[in-house]
Amino acid sequence: MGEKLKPAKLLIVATKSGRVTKKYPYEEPLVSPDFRGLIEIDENKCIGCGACVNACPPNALQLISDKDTTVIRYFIGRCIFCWRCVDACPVGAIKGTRNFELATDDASDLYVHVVHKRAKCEACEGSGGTQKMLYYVVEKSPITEEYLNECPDCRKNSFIESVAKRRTGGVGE
Amino acid sequence: MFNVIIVGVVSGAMLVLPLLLDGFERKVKAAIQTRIGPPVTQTLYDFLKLMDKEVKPFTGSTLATYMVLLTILLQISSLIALNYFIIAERNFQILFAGLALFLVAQASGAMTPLLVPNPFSQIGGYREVVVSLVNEFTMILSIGAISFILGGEAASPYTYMGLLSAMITLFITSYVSTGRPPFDIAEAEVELASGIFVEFSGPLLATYIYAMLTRRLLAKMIPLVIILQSLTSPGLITSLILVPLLVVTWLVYGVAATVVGRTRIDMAPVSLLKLYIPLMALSITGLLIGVYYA
Amino acid sequence: MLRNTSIIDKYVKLAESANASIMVDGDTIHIVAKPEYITGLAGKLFNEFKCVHRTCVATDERPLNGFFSLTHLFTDDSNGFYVALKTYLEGDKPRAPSIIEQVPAADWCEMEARDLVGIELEGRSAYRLVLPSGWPSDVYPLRKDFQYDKRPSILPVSEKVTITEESSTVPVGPYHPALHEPEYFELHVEGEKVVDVKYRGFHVHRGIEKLGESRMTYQQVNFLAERICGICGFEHSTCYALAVEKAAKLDVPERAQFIRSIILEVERLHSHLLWLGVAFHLVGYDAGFMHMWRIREKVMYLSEYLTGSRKTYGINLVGGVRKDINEEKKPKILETLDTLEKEFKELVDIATSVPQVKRRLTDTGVLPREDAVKLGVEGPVARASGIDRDARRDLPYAAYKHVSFKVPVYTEGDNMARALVRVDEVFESISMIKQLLDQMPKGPIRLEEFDIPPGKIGVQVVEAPRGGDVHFVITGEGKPYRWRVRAPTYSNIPALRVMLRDQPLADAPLTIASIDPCFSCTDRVVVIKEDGSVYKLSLVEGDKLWARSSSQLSS
Repeated sequence: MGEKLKPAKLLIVATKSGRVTKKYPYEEPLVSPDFRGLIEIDENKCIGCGACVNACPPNALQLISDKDTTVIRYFIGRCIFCWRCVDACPVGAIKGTRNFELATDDASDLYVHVVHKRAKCEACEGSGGTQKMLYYVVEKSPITEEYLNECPDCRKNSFIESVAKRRTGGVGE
Repeated sequence: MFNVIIVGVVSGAMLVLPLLLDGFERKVKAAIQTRIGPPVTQTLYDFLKLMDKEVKPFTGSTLATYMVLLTILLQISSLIALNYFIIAERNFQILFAGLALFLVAQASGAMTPLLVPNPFSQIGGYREVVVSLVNEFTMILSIGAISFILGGEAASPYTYMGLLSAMITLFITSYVSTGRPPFDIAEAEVELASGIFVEFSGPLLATYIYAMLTRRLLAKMIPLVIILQSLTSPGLITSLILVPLLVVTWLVYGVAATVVGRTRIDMAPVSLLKLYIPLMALSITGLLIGVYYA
Repeated sequence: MLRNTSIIDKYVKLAESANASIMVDGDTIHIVAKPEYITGLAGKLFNEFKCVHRTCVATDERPLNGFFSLTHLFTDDSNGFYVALKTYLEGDKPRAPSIIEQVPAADWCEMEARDLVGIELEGRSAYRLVLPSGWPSDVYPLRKDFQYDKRPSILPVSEKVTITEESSTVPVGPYHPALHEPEYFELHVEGEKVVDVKYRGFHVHRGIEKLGESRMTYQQVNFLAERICGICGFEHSTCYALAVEKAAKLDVPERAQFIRSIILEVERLHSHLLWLGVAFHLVGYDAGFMHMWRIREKVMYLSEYLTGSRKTYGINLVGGVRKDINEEKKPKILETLDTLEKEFKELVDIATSVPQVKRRLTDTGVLPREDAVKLGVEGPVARASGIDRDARRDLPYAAYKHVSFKVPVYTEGDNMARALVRVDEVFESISMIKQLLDQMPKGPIRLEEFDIPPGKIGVQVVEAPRGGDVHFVITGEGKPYRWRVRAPTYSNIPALRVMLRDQPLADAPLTIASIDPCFSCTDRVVVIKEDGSVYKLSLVEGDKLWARSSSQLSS
């Protein structure tokens, strides 16, 4: 008979555990301290190098450049909250938060843009990396003034010219 | 004459009971499952919402539509007959008429899925018929045994034992006819994709669901009426005792349904017979011994 | 490795008998043979050496050496070896012999090779398995000249349910309120008895293998692999990481392997608890479902506490893990495990005493041992039919060689046996986590600098909650050159036909659920985006699907 009545023991289990439904959103969500949520890019620290763009698996972070500006565009809709960008950023500009309540009815809310000015090249009309990236490089390693103000292509050409001058006295006239 | 009006009013009031009590049962079931569950008036809201929708005639089988309406009519008539029996006069012919109407309503309710040309509901209907075959027949037997024992003068202890076992059988058959687990195999099984419920929509679905719930109400009323009629005299007071008892019975059945699983169609008749045959045998033996000693 | 030389000698002799070249690399034996010898070698490996056929991989190696290649992957479980049997095929319409006469389990993977890379298999009937029926016939998605974001135009082909005279058809899926993922089972029933089953799957192909080979770098593929499945994602990413580390011969820190093993076991816990809840729901015991998932919630919170996310943990990288399990976290883990064990035991006790649960699970969906071996089923399905196989013990990886555990094996092969195997595995997992926490060494959790040379092959089998999961990686420049995934459910679905035959219809959903199907894992190969045109799936195709193996299996 005890075996037959065992299913009723569920009532005892139910009484011990009570109602486990949490009254979210009228109370705090149940997330642990380590929860990975939204990321925030600090515009002042970001140098626009694009390391985060390389690391991002779903391409939520994208680098869009035109002649004068480089924009880091963060599309929250694609983000998988893996925080690889947090690991990859060389200056620590990306911070992770525990925010996950991101629903909105306006898709443009989901885009975050960090705009950087591009450094103008003195030799040609083009532009190189961002201004801030150049300042960062200057801090980390010594570089001469003339290299600072040239785009990578022109810099390559200058370097080849100067090496050629030292070896042969000039690039084939 | 006055009594007839009271019967009408009480029956009308009881028409809303299936919806409210179902909501109550869902709340209790949710509590056992450690969740909050829908509000108690949820089934009522669902019913009203469905009634609000546009009427789309069910072209698959108009006969099925008529069957649903027939089932509701029979159930309401049965309800009125039972109420008349409790409130107005203890006329046993009316009681048995009410029982008969209930059983015919069960049959027409089982018939409805079979009339729908959809393999899921056909399988569901087949299962319902098989269970009804065993269950309703036993219900009739147990009611017969009870009425025989109560109608006679035999007072030996064996008779009381027979009466008790017949009452237990009656309560079990009443539980099975409500269509709850472990015997909700007609529509709740996974592979049936809700069987007949898929075919109906709007007000017709509301009517079908209401028929299913009224079936539960009547299935619980019958044993309670049979017990109460031997304890009280006719009058409104019996109705006032009946309704709380109904609520308690509904609650107990609901809790019992939550803690068990669902049986399978080939196991169902076998397990039912294994239960009913010993109980009815005990009951009939008690009856016969009582007659012998009388 | 000295004691293994006799075994390796046997393989060398086998290779020499077929004029094949053989190379032993760690625990993988690479045999390269000419196409005409493949069937014989595969037969000998399956029948004499008692190897298990895991999958076959078709690769377009034309940019590297001008050939296509077909590799059959076997594992020698009793000796702990992987055997990769490779052959090179010429031309733009390559042909290779089929091995299903000898190894019936190779059926689906050969058809996948035919669909996706275009290798014609000789000596067997062929059918479309993975691609939709309207796909153009000479466009092969996994060839290197097909760009991953190209969209060929597909003719929508509408189809009908097969109606036969003898039995009525109950279609289950692809959109079914009870199923969690799209799959299509056509059950032919007579009365209440199921007489035949046709299956058509692969509705949720997402192009994961192609994506992993084109746009992603090595470290990014970890996150992609994790999303192959919602329930067993971590073991996919671990298996990929282990395969790449094996190919590149990286020396991953011990602490990282321990952390991986702990999280793998936590994932196993949550997966089995989920399955038990679903099984109770399918027999109508909803209260058991709710309580089981209430208990599982503790495991989910534990996962989030340890890794940062309830699912898709995102802590695996090639070369180690990203997040550490500190000392402060240990007491909470132990406390959670203790409560879990007590509550789980109590609930399983109550639930199995419910007569309906017991009676509906016992003696239904029986899979006899011989069929199980021939079809190559995996995981709890195999262990419930008497096959004693577990990749954690036979092919040890990560930190499993440091723990002792029992492998539960039952012989009845019915739904109840599969349920009991999973229940036992939960208790074993709890004890394994405790042992791992005890023995965890100190040290770094990640390799910072490493090199991955191109052109190396790595194969790894990881015991997922559903069975053995195989990842095969050929390394390339900065990203994998070929990545093949074979999830355990892939091997378990063909077994359904045996299990469902002559069973009452009411047991069909429970039997289908008892293999713990994970259809996201099963179909994960190529892009089938079709510009939004809607089409109903081919059920006539399903007919041809079952033309295989019906002659192989004993009726």
